[in-house]
Amino acid sequence: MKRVVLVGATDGLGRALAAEYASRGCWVTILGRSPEKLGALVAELSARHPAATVHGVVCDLADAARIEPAFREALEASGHCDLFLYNAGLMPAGDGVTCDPESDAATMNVNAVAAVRMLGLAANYFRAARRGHLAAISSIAGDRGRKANPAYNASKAALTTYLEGLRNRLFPFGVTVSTVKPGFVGTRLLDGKKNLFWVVPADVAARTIADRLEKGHEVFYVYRRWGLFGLALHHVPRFLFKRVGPP
Amino acid sequence: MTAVHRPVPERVEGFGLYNFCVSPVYRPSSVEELAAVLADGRARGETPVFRGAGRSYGDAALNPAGPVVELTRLNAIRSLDAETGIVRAGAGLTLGELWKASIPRGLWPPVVTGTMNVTLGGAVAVNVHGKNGWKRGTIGDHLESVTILRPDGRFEEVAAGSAALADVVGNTRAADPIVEVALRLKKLRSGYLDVEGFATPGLAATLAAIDGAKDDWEYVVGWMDCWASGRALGRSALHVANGHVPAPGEPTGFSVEEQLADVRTGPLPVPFLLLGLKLTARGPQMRLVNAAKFLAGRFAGRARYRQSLVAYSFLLDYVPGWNEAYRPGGFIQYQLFVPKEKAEEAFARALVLQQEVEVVSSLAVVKRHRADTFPRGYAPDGFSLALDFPVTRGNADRLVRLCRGFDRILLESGGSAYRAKDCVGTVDRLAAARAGKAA
Repeated sequence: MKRVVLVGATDGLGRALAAEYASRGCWVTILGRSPEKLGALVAELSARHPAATVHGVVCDLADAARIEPAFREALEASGHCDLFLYNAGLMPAGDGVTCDPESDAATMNVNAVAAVRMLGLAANYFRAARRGHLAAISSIAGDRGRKANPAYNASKAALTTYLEGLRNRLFPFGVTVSTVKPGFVGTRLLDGKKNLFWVVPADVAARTIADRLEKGHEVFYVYRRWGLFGLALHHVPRFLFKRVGPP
Repeated sequence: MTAVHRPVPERVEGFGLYNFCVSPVYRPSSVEELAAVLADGRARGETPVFRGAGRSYGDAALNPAGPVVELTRLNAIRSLDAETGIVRAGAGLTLGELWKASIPRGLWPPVVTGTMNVTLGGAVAVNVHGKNGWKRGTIGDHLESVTILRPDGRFEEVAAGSAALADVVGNTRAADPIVEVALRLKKLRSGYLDVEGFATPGLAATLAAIDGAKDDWEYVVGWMDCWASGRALGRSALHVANGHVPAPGEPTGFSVEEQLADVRTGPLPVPFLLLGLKLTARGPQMRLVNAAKFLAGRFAGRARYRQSLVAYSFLLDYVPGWNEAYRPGGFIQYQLFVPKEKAEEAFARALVLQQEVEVVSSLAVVKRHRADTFPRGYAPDGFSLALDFPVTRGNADRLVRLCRGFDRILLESGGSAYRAKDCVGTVDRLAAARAGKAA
């Protein structure tokens, strides 16, 4: 009976989350950039999970003017919303040494700026509804700035901090805010990346995330051991981190 | 033009509390104010949804993507003609206010819902029915006219029988609001009903008894025990009623006091009842309540008693605010309308399905309907079964399966659903499935 709005769900983890919620018979409204991919996914999920109600709303998050109308369309399709889950994210490709300002700015824009626009609308909605669950897929990458991908780290750090602020702001209104740090999920985002470990298949990650959100967890990793890793990472001193820190 | 103040968006709920939206809610207290609100909305490019007293269970009076305009303050009675029985009143007038004005004149609304807190405008927009669905049809059948406020500020009176009326009756997403309703009331000989209660042992007997009673009795309704299985599947307690014919010197019941005197909730004050409901509404205890209701009817035999129209009609108002007992998840209502030939099979499937998924309705109501004459109508010549289900964390996925199962039963039996009770998108799903099949 749950009504879920998923932003950025035509690929990777988002797609797996959409499938997971559809399999639970939820009302799933998916926002995605490509009308073709969106249409195909809606058709597939509807066919596979007849108990679910699946809608698609086209939204290019790079287009700031489109965000509010898309949010409205999503609510209209969904009727109401119990869980708003922001999953959209970019990870710029790069050689790990050269900064690409264009691609870095695009990453900041989708992962942080568009997220703030969209989540802000959802936060106002839930505050007025005095109930609901707001969640976003952030990343352990936001815990420290690393040499391989400073813009990605910064964007996720912004998202994590923004969510923490929203959690504190919305707490008196009975709204739960969750920050999800999945760890490495086996999706396109990781293609060509080296030195990966503890990689979790997307469908397993989606099931775990949905279960934890159902329980109302506020900040969590898919594998709990990432929590320990995060704690350790956090405490590596600066002088050491810049010399031998992880890529 | 009046300056329009934009209200802060608020949580607006369906009566079942499961469906909600967050919208600015305008509550104009005059048609001029209403016109200004609508003009302001047009300037912003918004499409409003009109709302009455909010007694639709689902999303009929909700607007997820825009403002809600609540018309409850347009509730003036313009005229009430005791001779013709025609009342002209603002769309926001509730049936409760209406009967209080009409009963001293010996008049009663021809069709009433289970609660008196519905507005005339809302009743027309969903085209409500009552326990006399077979004899009297829906409220649309008793309209003289409705007056609609058009965008150019013109009031258009749409008379019964016109095509324009067909576009209004049963249309919860009409572009222009109903501001006034002219309704033909029923002349009474007495404010009392002769009620008979009896039990039926199974589904076939229940439907046969309702069908057998439909021509001799004005009001026919059955309370079904959904937990009963096997040969007892569909066993019910039936109530049939006709207008009382008063003997000379007998009280007529044509006063508000006499009508309300029959509304008794027992010795417990309402807050205690609410607490009791809160504790039991979602529990298995309701199984015992249902069985007890049936068995009482069974052993008492055919009970005959006199009851005021208000006490008989507005059962949902006995405990005000009872829906609040279902927070936080709320509850949904699912009403299956099935043509008479298929009703027994369809209802049997619906009952068995509830027991299979272990989500069983604690309140189930069976009624007989005649075919709806309006193009946006919903009732076939047949029966309806209205079911209530609380929404909890534990039953959500089973409840979805159940509702989709009901959808399938309706599709396969040529049945239909009703906007005022639709909480899970059934009306649109059926339309889409049928359009898909036709294409």
